[in-house]
This record gives sequence, structure tokens and C-alpha cells, in this order.
Amino acid sequence: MSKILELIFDWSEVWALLIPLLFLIFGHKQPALLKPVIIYLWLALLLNLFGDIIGDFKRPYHFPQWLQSNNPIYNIHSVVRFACFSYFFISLPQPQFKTFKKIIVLVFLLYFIIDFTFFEHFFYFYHLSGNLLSAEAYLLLIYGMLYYLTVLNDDYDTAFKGPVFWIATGLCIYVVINFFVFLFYVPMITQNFKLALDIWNVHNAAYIILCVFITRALYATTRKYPITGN
Amino acid sequence: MQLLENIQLLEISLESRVIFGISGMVLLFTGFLTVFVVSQRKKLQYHKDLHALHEEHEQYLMQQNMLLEQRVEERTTELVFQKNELQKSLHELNRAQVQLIQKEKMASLGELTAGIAHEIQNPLNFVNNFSDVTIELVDELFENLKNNDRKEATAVADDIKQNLAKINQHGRRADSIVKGMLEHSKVDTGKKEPTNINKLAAESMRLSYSNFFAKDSTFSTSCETFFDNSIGEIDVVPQAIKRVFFNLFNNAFYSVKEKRDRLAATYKPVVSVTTKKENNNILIIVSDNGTGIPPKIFQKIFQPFFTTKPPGEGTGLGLSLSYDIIKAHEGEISVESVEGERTAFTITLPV
Repeated sequence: MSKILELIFDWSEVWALLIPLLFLIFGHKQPALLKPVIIYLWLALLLNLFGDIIGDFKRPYHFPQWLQSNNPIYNIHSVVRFACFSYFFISLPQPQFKTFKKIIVLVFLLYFIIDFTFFEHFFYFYHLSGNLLSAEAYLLLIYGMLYYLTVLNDDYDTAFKGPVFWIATGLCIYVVINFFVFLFYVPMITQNFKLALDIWNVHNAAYIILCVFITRALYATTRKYPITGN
Repeated sequence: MQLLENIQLLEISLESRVIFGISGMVLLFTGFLTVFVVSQRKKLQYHKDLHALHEEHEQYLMQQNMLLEQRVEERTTELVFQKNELQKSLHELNRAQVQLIQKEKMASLGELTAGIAHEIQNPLNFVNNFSDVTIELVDELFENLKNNDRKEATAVADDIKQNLAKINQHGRRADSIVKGMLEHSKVDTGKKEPTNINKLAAESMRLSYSNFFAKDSTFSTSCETFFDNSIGEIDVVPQAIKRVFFNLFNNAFYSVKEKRDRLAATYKPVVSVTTKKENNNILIIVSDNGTGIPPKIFQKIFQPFFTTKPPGEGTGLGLSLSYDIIKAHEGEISVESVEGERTAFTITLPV
């Protein structure tokens, strides 16, 4: 029984994405504002599916050498997620912090280049890039905080009922929980592998929360609340 | 060494760091999110209250508007009704005024007619008496012709001729009186024509006096005229000016009659008319030594319907109409009076 539960939890990165995607397929048409999020959902599904297949089937099916680790997939996923959500937050009809948001992108690019030029290898097989993922989480959290700050200064009163609020909140919850997970994941693998595996379940739980919040956001667009920056 | 040991004691394990880190972040974010949601809810409540207040104000404003519109409508209806009533009253007033003016004219004509009747009576008496005598003389003439008394017949014929001349003379006088009456009653054409003011004044004075004499045979007053013959003829509407003169003389004779009735023998009534030329104007002064005008009514005498006469004797339009007529001739009419002693109306007409 616990094996089944463990399997379900391991594959949560895939099936959790199916919740908003099914809503997308069978639901109504979504506004253009959510396009980056929808693209992310599809790309994430592909990447996670690919990653989980590698993780669970590399040994029984004797995958080639270059498919023996799914760690680079997480690095790619991190870049895709940052790109999609950066585009999403920059596209919001909020005139405040536009330049600052663009600077965040530049900071990420700079960090990416420096990290993978001098300190790490992007396709390193033995562990994912904790530096990359924690930096990504940190910068995405800044996007989320900027969003909240803008809403607090605005006069709109539908802020926490609109789709953007649910996406921003879901993303913030995800990065808040996972920042320390990503930051200490590499040391944990070497020092306490069991803990690293358990902690990854926390990551998966946070990912389910993110998907549920995105689904809620997709549902919110059917309601009367206007699609604004809020 | 001791310090290094202390630092090692403070060292936290990786597991704890991860757990503390995650818990701290989650706690911080939960706190932030709670504050955010509470703040947004407060904002929402504030907007709701504001909206409710706005709606309440709007409703109140709408109610006030409706009430105001209703009041305006009511007031408009009331004003329209009042306007119609006023127009109706004004129309009736105009009609009444026209009727009163007509009445004044008729009264004036009636008074004039009485005077004229008395004026005509005298020549008619002459005509009747002389014609009776003439008939007898004609019979006498026939008898003398039958007796061939030519000398006597010639004398009688001379008498007949003289009688016929007198009949003719008195007939002409009656004719002139009738013409004068017709002139007075002639419709006012409003056209100016050269008019002898002296003659017009004298005629008006005589007619007015005759009118008073016809009513009261004991009435007697001294009528004096001081005419400036150099004024000649001036362009006026004769019927209108004659009406003015007639009104002024009527007032003058009425005034002296009133005073005479009060003072009896000790009083010698005098009514006079004076004309004179002054610069480019002609002055006509009608004066009397009657009762005068009390100072308190001095300002009112030219007002329409103002009269001091007993009811039925005056309409109060005489002086008002006179004032209007003189103003229409671009002239002036003024009055000077000492109560109980005298009154003088002065008309100034441009040449």
C-alpha cells in the first residue's frame, strides 16, 4: 500500500499538471494574459513526464548512458519555469516595477552564465543544480512580492479573486517551500540521502499546491472578475 | 581553543537548517499572505461601504430631484394659471378702460349738448318771434297794397326786410353753433391741421359756460379772455385740443360754482383764458379764482380715474386724457394753485 502511495507521490509532478490541463482541454477558452502559464503547463508536463520515465525506467529498460539521469531535465525545467513566469509577470497590465522586472531577467541570465561557465555543468549527471533552482525560486519570489506590493497600492477590490492572484500565490507558496529544499538539496544528497528523498516529497506536495492554484486561476476567469493585473 | 569548541556547539545540523529554513519561510509567507488578504478584505469592505454610500447618496439625490421636478411642475402649473388669470384680468381692465374713456367722451358730449341746446334756444326764439311779427307785417302789407297806400306799404316792407335780416342773422348763429357741435363730436382723426388757438379757446369757453348756465340759470361768472393775436395758427389736432380746453374750462367753472355756492354774495367768480407766445412755444393759461387744489392731491390730479367730484359727476379721466393729448403734441401741461384762492393750468405747445 505504501509502495502505491509512494509511486503516486513520485509521479505527482506529472498527474498534478493534468488537473489544470484537463480543465484547459474541457473548459472554456482562457484569456491571452494566461498564455505563458498555459505554455508552461504543457512544457512542464513534457519535461516531468520525461524526467519521471527516466527516473523510474532507466534501469529495468537499460536506457542509454546519456539517459541515465533526469537531473539535467530539472535544470531545463527551472529555466523554462523562470522564462514562462517572468514573461507572465512582465506582461501583466501593471505599469509599476516594469523596469525592475526586466532587471530580474537580466540578473537571472547573468547568474546562469556565470554559474554554468565557472562553477557548474548544466548537464551534470549526479545531481541537479541547487544554485540554479534556489536562485530561480528566489527571483520568482521577488516577482510574487512585487505583484502583492502593486496590488496593495492599487484601488482595485477584486485582487484576491482574480486569476493572477491565484497564480502568484500558488507560485509563491511553491518557491517559499522549495527555496531551502533547493538550497540544501546537493549537500543533503551527500550527507543524508534518505532525508533528501523525503524532502523531495515536500517539493512534490508544493508542486501539487501550485497546480491546484493554477487550476483555481483558470476557473477564476470564468467568473465575473475582470482579467486585470490583479 | 575554547572559542572553537563553542562555535562547534552552536553549529546546526543540515537537517535542522532545512527544516528551520522551510518552516521560517512558510511562516513568514503565511503571515504576509494573511496580512495581505486581511488588508484586501478591508479594502473590499471599504469599497462596498463606499459604493453603498454612493448609491444611498444617488438615491437621495434622485429623490430630491424628483421632488424638485414635481415642485417645479406644480409651481409652473400654478404660474401658468396665474398668468392666464392675469391676462384675463388685464384684458378685462383694458376693456373697462376703453369703456370708461368712451363714457368720458359721451359725458363730455352730453354736457356739451346741454350747452349747445341752450345756445341754440336763443337764436331760435329770435327766429320764431321775428317770423311771427313778419307774418303779421306781410298781412299788413297786403292790406296797404289793397288800399293803394304805397307809402305805408313801403314802410312795412322795410320792417319786413329788417326782420328777415335778423332772422337770417340768428339762423346763421344757430348754424354756427350746430357746426361747432358737429366739430366737437367729429371723430378724432389724429391729423394735425393749422388751427386758430384763440378761436378754439373762446369757443370752448363759451360752450362750457353755456353748459353750466343750462344746468343752473342762476350761474353767472365773469369770463375774461386775454388773447395774443400774434400767435396765429399752429398745427394741432383741433378736436383733441378742444377736448383739453373743454375739460379745463369745465373744471374751472365747476370750481368757481362750488366756491360761489359756499360764499354766496361776497364772491365774484372769474374764469379767464390767456394766450401768449414765448420763444418757440405758445402758452395757454386757463385760470380761475375758485376753490383751488389741496396740496395733498396735487400729485394725483393727472392720474387716471382720480376725481374729487361726487360719484356720477366725473369719471376722473378728464385731466388724464388732457395730459396724454398735450404729451402727444410734444407739449407740457402744468398747474399752479393756492387752496381756496385760485388755480391756473398752463399748456405749452411748440410752434
